[in-house]
Amino acid sequence: MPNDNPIVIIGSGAAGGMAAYVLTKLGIKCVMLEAGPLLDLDRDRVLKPVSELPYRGFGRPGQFPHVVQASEFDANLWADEKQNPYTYDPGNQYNWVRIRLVGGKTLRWGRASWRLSDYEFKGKDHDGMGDNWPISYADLAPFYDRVEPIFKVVGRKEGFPQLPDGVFLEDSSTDSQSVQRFLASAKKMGVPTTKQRRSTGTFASSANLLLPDAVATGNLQIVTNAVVREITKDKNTGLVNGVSFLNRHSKQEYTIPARAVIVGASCLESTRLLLNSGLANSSGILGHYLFDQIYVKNVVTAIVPEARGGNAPRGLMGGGGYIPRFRNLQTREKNFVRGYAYDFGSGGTPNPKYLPLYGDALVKELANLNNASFSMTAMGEVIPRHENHVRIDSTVKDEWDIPALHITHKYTDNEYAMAIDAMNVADELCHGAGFEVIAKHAQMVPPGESIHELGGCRMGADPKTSVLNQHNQTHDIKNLFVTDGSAFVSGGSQNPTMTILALSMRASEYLAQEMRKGNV
Amino acid sequence: MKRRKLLQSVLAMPALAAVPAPAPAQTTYGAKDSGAGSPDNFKLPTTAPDLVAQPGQHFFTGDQLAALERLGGILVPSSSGRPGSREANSPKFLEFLLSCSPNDRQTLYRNGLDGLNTEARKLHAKAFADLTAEQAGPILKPIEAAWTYAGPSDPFAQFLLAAKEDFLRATVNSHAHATAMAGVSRGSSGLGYYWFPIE
Repeated sequence: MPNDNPIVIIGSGAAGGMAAYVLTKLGIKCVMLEAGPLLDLDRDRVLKPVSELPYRGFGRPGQFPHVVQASEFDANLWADEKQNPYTYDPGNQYNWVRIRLVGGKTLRWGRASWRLSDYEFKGKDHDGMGDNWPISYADLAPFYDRVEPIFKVVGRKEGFPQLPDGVFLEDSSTDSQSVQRFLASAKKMGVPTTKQRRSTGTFASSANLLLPDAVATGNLQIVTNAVVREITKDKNTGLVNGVSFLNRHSKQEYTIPARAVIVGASCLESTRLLLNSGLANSSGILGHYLFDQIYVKNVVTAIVPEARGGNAPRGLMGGGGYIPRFRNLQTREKNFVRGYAYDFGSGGTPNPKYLPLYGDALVKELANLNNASFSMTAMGEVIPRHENHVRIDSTVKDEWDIPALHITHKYTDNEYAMAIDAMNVADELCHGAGFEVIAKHAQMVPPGESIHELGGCRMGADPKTSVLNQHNQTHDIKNLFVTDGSAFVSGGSQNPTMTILALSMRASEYLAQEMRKGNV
Repeated sequence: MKRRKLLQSVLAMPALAAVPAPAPAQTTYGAKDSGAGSPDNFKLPTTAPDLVAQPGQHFFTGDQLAALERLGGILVPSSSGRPGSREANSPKFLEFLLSCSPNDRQTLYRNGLDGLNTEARKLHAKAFADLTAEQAGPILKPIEAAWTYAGPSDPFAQFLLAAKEDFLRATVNSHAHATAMAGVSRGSSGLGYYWFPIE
């Protein structure tokens, strides 16, 4: 008897949005469950000067102890930490940053739109560390090719093997003189550089680039404020058969039958949901191999001397770029494995904290350094390890009485050594450009703060050591898929969103094929 | 540097997260459409409490608040038409902010303000509030140490660095600053999208 139930998609960000985009266009009925509401840009926001905010832009004290990205302007966009608690061991802080809105974190992402390469997909083959993905770059490249035009990516083609080119608009803008000097310094040191590669548009989110097309097919229903408690399983078939959820406001419980379920609720929420549902964990790996990317924010802050005086000559300042990974590509060069990348930018005024002054002297120096700053941020690869993991903390429950996560994530000597190298190289690059370095450090932000959390439901060829197969389908249950960052086996130093989108597109097309064949 | 340029530069300081847009002392909305106060749109002119009233004191002792006010005046003085900490009511604002801040922040400030008075009495036999900027200089010396990511281990130095950042931000993000800067820098904007609670 044919199963006429819809595909239930949990989450509406990059992973869920792409799943809906693909499946509905193929004529498949889908219901999307989103834990938060839909933004109304006319009703939900208003332009205000910071002086009219109750806390003068400081924000309500203590409201977001783990979300440094939240400002007083946008505090209502981020998931409330009291309603959505989680735990970690004392001394091992983890910053879990969440958005519960239609569009998910694509409403607030940095838009960096890089591809992974076989230095990540086949990293173990390259240096013996970590694990390979069950797919190669060639498997995913056709999907990156289709994702990038949807997100209107702009960048520059360079031919770097560690940072594959793509289908994007060429950024042919000229660089400012300060950036040109920095590029020359990098070239002299053998460090590769390129333009930033970014998705464009007023918004570059699932909510405006994916979901409208999906809704237009007539095949998608979006249920907002639907907090999913559990994915249910048919004991006779072993297949998932539905989802139970609660209304965010009333807490009324609902169930919906499903022909298949695609979980795209974000790396940690998806893992939490599978753990709470008791599904897809015959390997015992579920929740393990959690990782992210190290971030050393403002690893170096420098001054472009010619810009002093607060009146930089036209064309001197402005713009920026990106340095892709360059360490350990050919041979093992340093006291750490893998590598890191940088964002760099020219312009702006340095943070007053860097200036050992106060009073009139500080004000004058800030004016003197107006638009004279050059800064760099380093992002590095973290090798996934079994001991970095999440588990259910049954002693803590969220607002909807759903057990919370306990997160264990530590960095190792490899990451610390990488951060120090990143600081030293950044310092050298700036000095080589003739800039005055006024501050440098190698302090990584706490795990999670990059909002590039990955792993927990990792893919793999072996069902004993992974949760998902090469199609993001759980090894244990053929009509259960997970398509967000939790599927990653490794992450390099590239921002992960393009890869999440490509994986979700690929997995959704595979699901549609399997449905046509009658396998799901 | 010309005064106008100086003011524009201060307006562009990035650490303040968002800088106030030029704003009149009293904001009138809707007058273009049907007249302020028209009964069919309720777009009545309103004003910020800072512009018509003084905030209450409810957290620091009198000695602590006096030291805070003096500290703000030294860290962010007024000059060249730019309001300082006092004109921006920053001490009272920070007192309010600290009254609802986590305990460790409250302790940092309370102990730091007591420390200012202790040092002032030790060096000059009077309260910190009564010191000149020159007399206060040696006490504020920790601010002149080179920046490190970890920051100083001494809680008093930590307090001074926190106060420097907080006073600067509270002052530049104030109504007084917005009003004073109106017309100085049209391009400078502390405007941001404020998001209401979303249902």
